[in-house]
Amino acid sequence: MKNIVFLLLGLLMLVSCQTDLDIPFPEHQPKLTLNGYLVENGPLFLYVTRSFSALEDVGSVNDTSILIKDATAEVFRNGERLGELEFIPSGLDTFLFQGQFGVDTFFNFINNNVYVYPDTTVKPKAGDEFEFKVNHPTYGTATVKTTVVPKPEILGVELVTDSIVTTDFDGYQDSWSALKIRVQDPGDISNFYGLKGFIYTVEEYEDGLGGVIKDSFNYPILISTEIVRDGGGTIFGNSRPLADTDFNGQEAVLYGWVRLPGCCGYPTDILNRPQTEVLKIDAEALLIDEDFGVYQDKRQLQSESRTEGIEGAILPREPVSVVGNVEGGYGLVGSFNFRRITYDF
Amino acid sequence: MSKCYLKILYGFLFLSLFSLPSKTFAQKYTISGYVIDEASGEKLLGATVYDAKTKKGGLSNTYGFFSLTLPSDTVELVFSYTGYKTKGMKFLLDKDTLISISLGYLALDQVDIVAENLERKVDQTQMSRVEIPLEQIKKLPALFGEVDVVKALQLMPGVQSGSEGSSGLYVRGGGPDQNLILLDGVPLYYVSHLGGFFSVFNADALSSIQLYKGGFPARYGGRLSSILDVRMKEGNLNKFEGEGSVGIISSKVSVQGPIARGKSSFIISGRRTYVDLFTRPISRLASNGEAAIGYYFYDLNGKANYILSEKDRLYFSFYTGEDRFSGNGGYEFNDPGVSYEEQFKLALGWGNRLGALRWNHIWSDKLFSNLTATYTRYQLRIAAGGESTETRGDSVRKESFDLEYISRIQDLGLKLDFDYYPSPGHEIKFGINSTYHTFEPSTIGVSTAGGGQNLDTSLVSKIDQPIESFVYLEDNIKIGQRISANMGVHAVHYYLNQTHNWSIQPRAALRVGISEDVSFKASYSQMTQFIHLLTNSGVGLPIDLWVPATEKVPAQTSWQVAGGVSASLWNDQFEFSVEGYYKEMNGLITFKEGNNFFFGGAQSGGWEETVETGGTGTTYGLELLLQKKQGKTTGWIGYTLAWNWRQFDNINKGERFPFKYDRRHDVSVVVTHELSPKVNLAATWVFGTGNAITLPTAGFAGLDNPLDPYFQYQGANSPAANIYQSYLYSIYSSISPFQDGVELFENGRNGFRMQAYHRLDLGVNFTKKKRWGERTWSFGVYNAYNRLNPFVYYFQTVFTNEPDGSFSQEQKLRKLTLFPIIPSISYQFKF
Repeated sequence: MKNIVFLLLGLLMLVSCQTDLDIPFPEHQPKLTLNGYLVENGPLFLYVTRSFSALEDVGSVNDTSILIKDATAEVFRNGERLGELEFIPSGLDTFLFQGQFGVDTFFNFINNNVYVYPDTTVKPKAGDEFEFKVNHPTYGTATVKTTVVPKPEILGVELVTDSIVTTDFDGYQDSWSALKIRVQDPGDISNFYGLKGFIYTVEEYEDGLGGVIKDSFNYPILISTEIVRDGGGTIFGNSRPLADTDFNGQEAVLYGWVRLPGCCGYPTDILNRPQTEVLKIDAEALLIDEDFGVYQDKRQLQSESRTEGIEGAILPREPVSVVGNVEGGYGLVGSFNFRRITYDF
Repeated sequence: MSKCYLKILYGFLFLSLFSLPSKTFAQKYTISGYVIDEASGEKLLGATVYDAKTKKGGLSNTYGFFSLTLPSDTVELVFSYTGYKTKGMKFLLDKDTLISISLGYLALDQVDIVAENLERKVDQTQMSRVEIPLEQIKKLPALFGEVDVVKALQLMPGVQSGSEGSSGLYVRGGGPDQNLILLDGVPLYYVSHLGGFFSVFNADALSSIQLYKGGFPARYGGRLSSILDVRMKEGNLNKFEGEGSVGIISSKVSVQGPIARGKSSFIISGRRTYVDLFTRPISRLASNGEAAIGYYFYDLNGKANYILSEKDRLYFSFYTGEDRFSGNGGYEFNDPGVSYEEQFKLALGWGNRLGALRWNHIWSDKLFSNLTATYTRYQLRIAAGGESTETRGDSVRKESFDLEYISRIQDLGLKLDFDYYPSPGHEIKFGINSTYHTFEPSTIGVSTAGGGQNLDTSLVSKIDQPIESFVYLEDNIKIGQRISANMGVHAVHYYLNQTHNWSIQPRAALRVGISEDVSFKASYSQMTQFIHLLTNSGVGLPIDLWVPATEKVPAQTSWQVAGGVSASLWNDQFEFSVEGYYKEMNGLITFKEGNNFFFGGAQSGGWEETVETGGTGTTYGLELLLQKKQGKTTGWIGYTLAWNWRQFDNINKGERFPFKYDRRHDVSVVVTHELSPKVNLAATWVFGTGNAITLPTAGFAGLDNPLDPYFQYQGANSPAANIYQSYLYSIYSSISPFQDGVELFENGRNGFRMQAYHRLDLGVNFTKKKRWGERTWSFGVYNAYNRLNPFVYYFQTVFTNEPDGSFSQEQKLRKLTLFPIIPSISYQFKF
């Protein structure tokens, strides 16, 4: 339907014209931008950039014009100064962590152009408060504090297959299985919950020579925290973090929605092989601090709601403000923790 | 304050009722009847009826009925109405008298008397009312030559258009949902065609148009910011006549005449655009015959009336109008052994349908009633379908799908209104009204066949059926020669899902004559609105969704005070008014961050979760109007100075921000000049502060979300999943604010101003009498000096090829202008 409305507007635009605007644009004073997150037993790191005007060309994906390499970054734990972070332009091999599923997958990007605390024996623990203080001669000082949240308390896991069948506007049907995770919500903090995971399968497929190959696979799967319908009527799972507003320190159930192989609606970005046996689901239940949850939620919303060019201007979505926790700058340093769950079929 | 006010109000009403005159104390008789147009037999509403001897008088009501109670004596009645020759009659009033007076038609032992013009604004208690004669509106230049009554109203102070070309109304800081738009007393929910560029009102079918911006009489309610009362013609009782026009994008025709001469009449009026006549062949050509699209809109107005007796009249009026968009096409290919054929079709239609059956009855010479049954419906319907056939040798595989989407609001209503005239200068209106609403945000029917599955299903969103009822009492009284007041109360009961809601809304207006030609006016109104509009396009699209007030999303409320001075200058050649107002609104809603109609579930019935509630609005300003109504040159200059704020707890960090259409300065100049009986000229110039918009002024980089399930994909499945791989993409893809970076709105919500809007329109009309009637050629130029007014702003990355073969890129802020200079021509005829 959206396209139709655009088409109607397009008729009107036959007589319209577009011109560049030569008007005073608000001047932007760049500030430091700090990004990072702490996970129990993960590294202490920061990604430091500067903000920029909307009309400034910050280049393509390979541009580093906003990267800040010459800042001084200090880290404090529970009010005690630990030392300075080092800027690592490349080659982060010295900062290896135990290669366990979980911790490493949250840091797969950390290699270049980040500030890292060199002593890898210092690891965040639940309840620790960390403060980062970054100073730059041009962009001033920015500070940020965050407290490492505890792991979620998981009381039980259950999978209800084909819990919901949804139909989108095109008549396409999806079957969703419910992954029910019972948790004990910590009552003393405001937090969010998230879910992510892998599915392990054994699948048969043609080898192209008339034979059949049987092989094992593991895919990251979308475990949705909610099921939504988009503007075109398509129903999909959304992985937006869930606020614990309604849990209030009580025992509660997190519902995750999964589309399993062999059923209608299995994710189309993965080959849908008819002879598929599901072995298990490895999932991670995440407990996310409130600042981080809100920030990521708003970022995702802002990103989704942005429509380029005229289309977006004519049919705008309400603007989304993303507010971080950095004083004297922008960005967010938050924390989350996770616990791994295995559901065997 | 409110309770205290109510006590005063009730006290006033109580005293008024007990001050009704009685024949016991004075021998008085009542003259009552209708004031009608001599030529057509149409009722004239708001006509002046005045006794020159006692200097007492009044106005005819909405149905042309008047009542005047005077002492038994010789009376010198004067009847006057703008644009009509003033006439009078003199006779001995020795009994109650029922008459119908046709202006210009002399009867009884009448004598001509020069009338004192009681219609002057300076003499009216009502303030904040806009009224433009339709004949004047028809002379004004218009976009594509399409006469538009709503756009003419936008030229008055306190009334703003939204965006370029839009026929939405923004009255004293209110939103487009806060206008009660009545066609023959029946609410219209969607008053635009073509996404808001034309209103649904066909000027040829209308007899009057009045807009109330404040000081709302108690008989009106249900919206916060304005009442637009549009009345259709009734049809000529005496002879057949017609009129019409042929324009660039549409043609229209109206025919009216007696069904039984002097007893009953009809009018029927239609308009249709013919854009589709061009778009279909063009789209076929452009797509090599594979697709065709068409669009048109039409309006059909009709009304019939029947004089049952001297005291009873029956009316039936209807309106139906719709925008229709359709498209169809196909695709096929043939390869050896395989052939494929696909056909699709699409149809969109949206529009209103309304009807009213009305019975006027004169119970006595002082009591007039009007019983009306009403029906109104707005519906958006989308139908899409397709089928495909794939043939492989002997195997034929067919698939098809059909989808229907319907969104509608429908009202059934019954109302009974009374006008009671106890004495000259004293009029009491009271009545009761009940409306049964049906809100059906969306119903989706889907059926598919083939491809191994068959489906036939229907998804129906929550249907709400509230009942909204109200009673009102309105006392319009003159106290001496200098003071008049209109006091009233409007009480509403709203019932939905076994929940009762009440709203008592006091209304008051006061006029104090400072001199013969200058008066001071003040008014106070409280309003409640049990309906919301989900919109944020600002363009007036058919997808804007009406929804009811619910427990989660309560009603909107407002109060408004206004005060001003009205003056008649230079022997009534000019009228001048200045009004100041202050309005507060509560219970406003807006879409939550990131939402609009398409995103957030509004269309699937979960709209309550998509909106921020509990918003407040504060708006205040000053309006000046200098108007010349007489002579060869007429027109007005209007100026508005206004502020318009909104506040929501979860938007803009809870701080107040300017409303999208906060417009500090708004100027309009309208001039029409009759060069000769055959030629008249018209010009309008408008200026307005630019709209307030939200623009990202800066940005910053953000890391990819580690909580995103797909975030781990590259690392975990790469051959070296357990070491920290270099994935520059993860970082750098987040840099640009126009990709995945974070946008900063440093100026806050609506903190950026678009360029000012101004535009000059010119028109000239050549009229000539013909044997068969009269014809007029109208030529116009919209946006005569080709001002490139901004419609929307948007960012765009502009790439430039450099001499060395490389390219550079630059972020640009651009604007879209919808209408540059546009000439128009139309041919009008009357017979």
